[in-house]
Amino acid sequence: MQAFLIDSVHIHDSIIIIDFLHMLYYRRLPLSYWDNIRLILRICLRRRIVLILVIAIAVLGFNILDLAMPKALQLLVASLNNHKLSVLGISLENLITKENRIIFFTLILPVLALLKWVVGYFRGVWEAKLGQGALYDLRNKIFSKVQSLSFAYHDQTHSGRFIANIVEDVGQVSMFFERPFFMILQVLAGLSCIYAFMFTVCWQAATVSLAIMLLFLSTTLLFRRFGYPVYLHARASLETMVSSFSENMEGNLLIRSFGRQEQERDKFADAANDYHNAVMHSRVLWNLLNQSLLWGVFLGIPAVVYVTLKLLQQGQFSSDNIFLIFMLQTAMVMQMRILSRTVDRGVHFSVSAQRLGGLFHVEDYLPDVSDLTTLTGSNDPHPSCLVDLPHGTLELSDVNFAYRGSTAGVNGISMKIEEGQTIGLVGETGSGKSTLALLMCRFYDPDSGSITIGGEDIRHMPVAQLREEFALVFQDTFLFSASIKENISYGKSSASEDEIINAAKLAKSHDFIMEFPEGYDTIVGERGVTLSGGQRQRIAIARAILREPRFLVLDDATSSLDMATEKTIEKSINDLPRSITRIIIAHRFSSIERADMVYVLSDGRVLEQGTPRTLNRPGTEMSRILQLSEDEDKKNNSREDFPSPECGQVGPNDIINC
Amino acid sequence: MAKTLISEQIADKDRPELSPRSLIRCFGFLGRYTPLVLIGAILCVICVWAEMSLINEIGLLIDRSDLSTTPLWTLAAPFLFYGVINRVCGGTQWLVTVYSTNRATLMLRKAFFNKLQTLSKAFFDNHKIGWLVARNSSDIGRINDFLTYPLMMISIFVTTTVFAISKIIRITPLMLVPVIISMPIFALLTGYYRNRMRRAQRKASEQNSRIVANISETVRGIRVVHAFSREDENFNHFENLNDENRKLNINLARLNGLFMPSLDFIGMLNMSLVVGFSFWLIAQGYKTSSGNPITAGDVAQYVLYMNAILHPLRMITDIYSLSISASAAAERVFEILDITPAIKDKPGATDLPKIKGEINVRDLSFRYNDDQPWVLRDINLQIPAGQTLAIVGETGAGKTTLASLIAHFYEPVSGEISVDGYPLKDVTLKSYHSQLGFVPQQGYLFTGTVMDNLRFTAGNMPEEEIYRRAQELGAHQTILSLPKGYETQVIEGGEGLSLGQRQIIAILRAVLADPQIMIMDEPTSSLDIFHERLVQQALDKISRGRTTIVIAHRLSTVENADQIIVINKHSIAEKGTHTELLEKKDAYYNIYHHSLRNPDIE
Ligand SMILES: Nc1ncnc2c1ncn2[C@@H]1O[C@H](COP(=O)(O)OP(=O)(O)O)[C@@H](O)[C@H]1O
Ligand SMILES: Nc1ncnc2c1ncn2[C@@H]1O[C@H](COP(=O)(O)OP(=O)(O)O)[C@@H](O)[C@H]1O
Ligand SMILES: [Mg+2]
Ligand SMILES: [Mg+2]
Repeated sequence: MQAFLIDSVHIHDSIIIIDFLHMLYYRRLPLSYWDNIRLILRICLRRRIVLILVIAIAVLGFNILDLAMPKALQLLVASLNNHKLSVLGISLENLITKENRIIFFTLILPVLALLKWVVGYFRGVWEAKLGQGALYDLRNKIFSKVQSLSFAYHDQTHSGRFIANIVEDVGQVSMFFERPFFMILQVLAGLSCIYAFMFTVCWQAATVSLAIMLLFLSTTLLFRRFGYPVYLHARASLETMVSSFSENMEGNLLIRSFGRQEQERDKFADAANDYHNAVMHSRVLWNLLNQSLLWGVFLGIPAVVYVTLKLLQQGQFSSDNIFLIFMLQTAMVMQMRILSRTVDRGVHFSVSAQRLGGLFHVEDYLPDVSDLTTLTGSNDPHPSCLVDLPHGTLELSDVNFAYRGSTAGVNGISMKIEEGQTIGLVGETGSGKSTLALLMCRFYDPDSGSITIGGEDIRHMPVAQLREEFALVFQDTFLFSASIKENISYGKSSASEDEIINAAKLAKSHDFIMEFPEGYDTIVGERGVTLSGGQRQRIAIARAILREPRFLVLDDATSSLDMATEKTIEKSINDLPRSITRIIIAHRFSSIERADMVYVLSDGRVLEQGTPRTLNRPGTEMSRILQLSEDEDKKNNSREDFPSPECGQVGPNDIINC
Repeated sequence: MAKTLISEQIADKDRPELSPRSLIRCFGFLGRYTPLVLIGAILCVICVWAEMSLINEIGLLIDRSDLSTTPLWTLAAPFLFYGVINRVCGGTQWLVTVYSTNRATLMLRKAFFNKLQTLSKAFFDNHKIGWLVARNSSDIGRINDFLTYPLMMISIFVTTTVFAISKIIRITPLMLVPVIISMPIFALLTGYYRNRMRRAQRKASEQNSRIVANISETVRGIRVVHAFSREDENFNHFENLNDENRKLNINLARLNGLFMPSLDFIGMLNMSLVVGFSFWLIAQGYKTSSGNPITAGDVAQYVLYMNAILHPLRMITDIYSLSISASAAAERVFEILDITPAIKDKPGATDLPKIKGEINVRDLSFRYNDDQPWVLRDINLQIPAGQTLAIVGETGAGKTTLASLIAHFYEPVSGEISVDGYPLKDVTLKSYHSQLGFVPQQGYLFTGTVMDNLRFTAGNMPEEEIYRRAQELGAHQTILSLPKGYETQVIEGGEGLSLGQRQIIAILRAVLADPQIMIMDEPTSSLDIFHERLVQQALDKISRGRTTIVIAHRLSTVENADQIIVINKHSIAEKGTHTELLEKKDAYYNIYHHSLRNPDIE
């Protein structure tokens, strides 16, 4: 046992005790099976070798104390029957006399129990330290993994399902480390101690018992072979059941309004049936294992009784030793119960380890230069601060990009955006506007072509620092379950109250925020109050404004706003410091009329570009947009004395002359 | 971010710690599996009896004086006999019990789901999806554990205790004295531990759900996290939560480590009392109940029985903690099962016949909660069958709310809505909803292909017909431009499509339902102007002969409506056609003319 654990070099490999017996079979499973298990064990057990050793010793001590009890009882019976008393061949005749035996036997048990209490206490605490420490590391690892994975990865994952999986799998892994991990040690130690003891008492009975035991123990070998796929299936059907459930809740309103409840009910019933059947299947299989282990013990009982009695009849044995052997044999019932439960948890663990291992093996990061500097051994703790982000033109040259597993994206886009300019992006839905915005902030890397700022490729800049310069308002708003204040200052935690209120005012949110009883401390998001779509959008705009970025990107940020509010916010944005480069994605001419440059996208390409005015030539796409926007305006003005739209839209910037 | 997570457990604090009513009700779900569970309990009793008989046999064996002469097999046979009985009954019992509770929880799970299907939107406003998912997975799992184990444990406990005590009494009733002495100590210790443990456990599980919520939000908001480069800050925050969790759990283990072995200790003290007592009894020359002197075999049996009782005694704490967690779980699940849906078919509700679509709103007032301000006050509105109503107004004015009320997702606080003269509260929901087409503000798509989403309403409509309708709406081109056209895979809500594409598909989906009443909440807000126009024209055509309610901010969508209402300050500020309203030169006039003039020259 100990040789096993002390060999710290290969500790990760050798610690896989749970599947130690199954080693023979792994070749038939995909190779990565062990890679994954090893990986998870490494994460969980690294830097905890001393702790593991200490626990191993405690477990051993605990087991020995456990066996001291049957021995004490055997001595008791022997003493009552006036047999000879001895421990491991050492005679106790002098120690326990007929006179002091009452004191000895009343004291020995509590002393043993007290020792067990102490050992048990430390063992429990240490085990928790190990289990919780493993869980702590695992969770931290997962959290940073999740945060660092690229967008492209997140795009392809089903976030609800992803979360549910992580929670379930981490739970399974940590459950395994809390107890079962050492239980296997305990069982191995326990069985070894029991058999060692039994052998010293009566080797014949021990041999018979061991033979029967081994026969049945071999079922554990088969168990993973047959059990693993069944457990895997149970786990997968749990996933299906949960995601079927949560999608139903998510789309509940639609299901109801289209009267589709019955079909949905059947769909869920199928998933639930499948899950419960799979669980039952795995339970039946496990019961086979559990049963066969226990049969191994219970069939051993008459066998050892038979053998010992036979010896007794031959005069080589005393009846109190029959009692001792019986006690040792029945002590194994507990060990077997623990063993089968441990194997159960172990298979659960290995299923979850496969899944988490899969996550850790994903190497889907956006390459970041600051990682490179770290890798090349720079001693600076913040290598990313070394580089000063250059100023100057944001230039896209011949950028090609397609979403993973799809042909959609952008094709050969080139544009030059000077500092402080306002850029308008318009185009049909699906033409690649949002994609382009995401590329500029480097959420994805172009497949070919380059994006540069002041001549420097953005791929050569630390990602965090680059993003620091951008503030994005996404087309679909996401707010966190936090107070409004925290949501607005999400991109700038150091912001003062005044700054927050100012940003909110610019985004025309202050008034409605103040209507809530708790004002800026009102909790919003998943677990907070329900805001209307336009209210959420305005908070997202405030969040971006507060960041005081060099580049402000608004992706259709006012789509849910009424026109009056939209106008006011557009004005606030326009009034922000001149130095800010604004990139505005919009559908209406009025939103981009002040732009220095407008790009009309279509099907991932730039169709037209120019100032709003120069683009307004007959036959251009832009003129069609203008036409439609104008139609809209004209209708308002048709019976009114308002100036015509072109003239009415003259502002101080004078982009459009009448 | 510290106080940001209003965890569900906070609400749980008010719950009684153990609610026997809910626990009993759990057993109700066993339904037709009850006999099986009882058979399981009986098998369990037999199994324990066999195990105790083994102990009995060894005691008898030790004391036999004819050991050397009796044939071996007669001595060993009882051990084989009881061992086999124990295993046969034990194995069967386990399967029987697990099978029946597995089936019973399956039924509970389905009932839970079906109940949720009938609950109103108000319920979903207040119960977040993550919370409901946890009810479905972990709470129902706990109920399952409760149905499976405690009954088993109680059978074991009772059988063991009865058997052991009766045997001890048969040796000599005096031997019960140590048990009687140690019982109260056990009880006291357990009680003390229980309280401390419960508090510590609750703290730990609250912390755990905070962590889960935190991971979940980070995944869902990952774009914002990246965009605002909050990774490091988030990680530090998470690490703190995580560390706190670790400390709480280690603390829990300390408590456990103090208590659990202390039971052993008390048990052993008890045992030593037993041993000392036995010596004393022997020394005093006491006789067993049957009048023989006390033998070594008696003492051995006595000790083993006491030991056998100790083990189930420890199970009491397990039963207790299983019951506690099942009780809380059951309360939460039953609470949902017991909700009378805010909106449900009244007894005697009639099926709405095929409607023409005339809608009448009378004196409608609404607020989301009694402690919240009114969202709508005294709304009166008539929409003749087949006509189009446009709703405009500032964001947050209550447009979506009004539309949801007309769709009967909420029940009005006061006032009434009727369709074709049938008050909505008197008709069955299904008959109404099946004639309704609804496009929510955010175009939600289901996981599956685009076609799956369309089939959601189109049923078995031939593909050509779907294409034709899509063409009418200008959606056909949009869908064909997707990488795999109609077979493009959509995940979770619509990720992988641009927002506008999602909206178009959502509109098409509603149109395919061929509803008599169409309700659209800002259906074109994320569409480019061309698609918007296409959709508008198509809707103009489609809305002929259907009652249509559309919420919009753009004049072009609104102007052709037969009737326009402006919602302002919780009530209808203006009502009329486009021309009428412009002539009034009031709210509507202001919204549009004001907003179209450049704010700079104000
Ligand atoms: N995450 C994604 N995965 C795959 N395809 C996507 C993804 N997001 C968008 N697309 C596709 O890329 C194209 C451009 O989308 P997008 O840039 O969002 O358009 P828009 O101009 O409306 O903002 C669309 O055809 C869309 O279906
Ligand atoms: N489910 C809800 N629970 C509580 N308050 C809500 C809910 N939905 C909306 N509200 C509040 O009701 C008001 C009206 O919202 P809504 O009808 O969505 O406005 P809009 O006119 O923009 O569609 C807003 O102040 C909003 O915060
Ligand atoms: Mg977009
Ligand atoms: Mg709305």
